[in-house]
Amino acid sequence: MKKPLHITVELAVIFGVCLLGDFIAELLPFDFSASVLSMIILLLLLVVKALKFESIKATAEFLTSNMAVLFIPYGVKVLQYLDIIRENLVLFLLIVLVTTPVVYGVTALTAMLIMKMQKGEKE
Amino acid sequence: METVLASPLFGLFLSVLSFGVGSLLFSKLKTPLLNPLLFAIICCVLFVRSGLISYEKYMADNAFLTNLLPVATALLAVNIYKQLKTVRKYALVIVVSCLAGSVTSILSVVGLCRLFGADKAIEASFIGKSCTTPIALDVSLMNGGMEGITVIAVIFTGVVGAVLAPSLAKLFRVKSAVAEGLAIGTCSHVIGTSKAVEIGEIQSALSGVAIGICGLLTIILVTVFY
Repeated sequence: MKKPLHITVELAVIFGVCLLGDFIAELLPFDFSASVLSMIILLLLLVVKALKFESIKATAEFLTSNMAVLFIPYGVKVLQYLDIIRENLVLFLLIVLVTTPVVYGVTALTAMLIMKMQKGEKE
Repeated sequence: METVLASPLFGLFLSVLSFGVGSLLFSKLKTPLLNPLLFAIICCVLFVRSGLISYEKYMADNAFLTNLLPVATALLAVNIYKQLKTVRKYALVIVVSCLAGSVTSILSVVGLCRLFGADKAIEASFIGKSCTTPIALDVSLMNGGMEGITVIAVIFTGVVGAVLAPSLAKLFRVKSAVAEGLAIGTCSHVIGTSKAVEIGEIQSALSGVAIGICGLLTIILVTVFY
């Protein structure tokens, strides 16, 4: 068993990838999410083995399994919008209650259709 | 006591304490209705409303958490990487179904908002609501949405998806575990996936994969078309 890297090294690698995403986003001729670029970069680095998963494992797993904590303050910002929520409550409930089952249905039916077609090809 | 209230750790303490209590309650009661994040948000909102801490101080103390948002998004790559075998095995099904689901999610939100004459900021707040929180926030922030509303919308969508998942599987006659997992992850992200874990191993893996793929597709779709 290799000893895991020091946590600061793991954090430096992860933060470095995020900053690289920022840097590339700045160079792009159009607006694109810097953090999603970082996600794509990190995935590519891992897939081509330029970055070993072991070298970020401990920190990445700690952060991904406790990610929800990061969103608390964003949720508390709801305090700024209480009036807007009160005025649009029906619309907000409608959006969530209608779109969620529709998205489920479309995704499931598409998946079953594709698998049926793939099966047909094989036979 | 004044030093305690003035400490920059105080706001952060309130956040982690309420989330911790929420997680304990969640592990005891095991119902998606008691979501630890939602519980923590409600507690912190009440702390601010009661005057225990001002809104401005709460936000300043919690900058440590908000600054890590891009890290959370980047680390979604890890979830996809860990399921790489599953992704390769079902590549076509995953990409096409997630694309269909993401397009449906965006169009249905935009459609309902325009039908009811809601303004752009509301539309932007809801567009990414079927995606995981960092992606939905990204979409919201880049298009002038309201972060507070987005987070609440994401949680409610997740809870609705998790609660309805078993009935929806019956309604749409979903007999394939792969299709069921993809549908759960696409419509209700991480909260739905926690339900998928109870349904089965394949459902759970595919639901997890769908979170990352739908996040990626949604950002691309919104950037190009919106």
